[in-house]
Amino acid sequence: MAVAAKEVDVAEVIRKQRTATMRTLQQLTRAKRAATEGAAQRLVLDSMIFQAEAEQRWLDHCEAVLKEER
Amino acid sequence: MTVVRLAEVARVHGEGATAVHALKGVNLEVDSGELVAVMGPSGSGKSTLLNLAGGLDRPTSGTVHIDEQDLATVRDLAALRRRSAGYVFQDLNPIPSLTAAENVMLPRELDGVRSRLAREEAMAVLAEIDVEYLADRFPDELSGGQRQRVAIARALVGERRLLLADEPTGALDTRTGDEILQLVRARCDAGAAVLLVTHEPRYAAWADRVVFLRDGMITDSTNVSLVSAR
Repeated sequence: MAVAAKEVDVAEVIRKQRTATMRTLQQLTRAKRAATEGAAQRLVLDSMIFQAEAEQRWLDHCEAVLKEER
Repeated sequence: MTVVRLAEVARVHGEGATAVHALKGVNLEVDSGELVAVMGPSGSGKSTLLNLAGGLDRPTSGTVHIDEQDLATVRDLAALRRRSAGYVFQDLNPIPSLTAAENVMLPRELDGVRSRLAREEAMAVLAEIDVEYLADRFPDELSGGQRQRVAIARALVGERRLLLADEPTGALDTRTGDEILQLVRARCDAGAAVLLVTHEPRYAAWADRVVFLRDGMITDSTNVSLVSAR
């Protein structure tokens, strides 16, 4: 959306989202460390960690591609 | 208490038109008991930052303090490094001709500690991270995860309170990588200051604070309060 919209600082949008996603990843990692309800709970948290990690990587990819196109 | 402090640190490689500005006016502090992760793409200055924080390199301008000592005024930087800071690198494996225990003892012996006491210290730190059973094995008899555990033991032996880790999970699988971070986190919770360089978001997330480096500058940090991502 930020790429298609006019007058949007895309780099800033990516930067803010990356920091927010990393905060989510930190919260999930803390939750995993504190998890006491066995493998099922840990695996659900693992799934959420992998999803947040994928978003983080995608944001890095967006930044690299847009930098090349500038 | 701040263990390592970088103030307005810049590092330039080369001169004139070919000069490369690896770091530009970086400010960063790591406190005792704090784990700080540095993330950034290749060439963003992550490893340069780590080398400067540990006294392996000197800044072009700015100051680096370890335990309130300005590194620019330290005559024997190698001795300060051995006493104050431990390093874990992806490729800096233990010395192949020495056993795990001998590898861990090495920095203490270089510091003049007698062999017997150095071995006692090495065994204590190996026991602390649950790998004392590896003490008499040679590096080629260890798995990648076990080698990294020995490297962490070597980085922490003695009274060193600063751990500098550059991609310590390297080519390890996710589960072993998590175990290594768990170990680093535990040492941090016990009072060590840790500066971790990684390009893996899942490992950076073990940190209290994550800073993002772009083109030699810190562009963001997770310790600034913002609305959550979800």
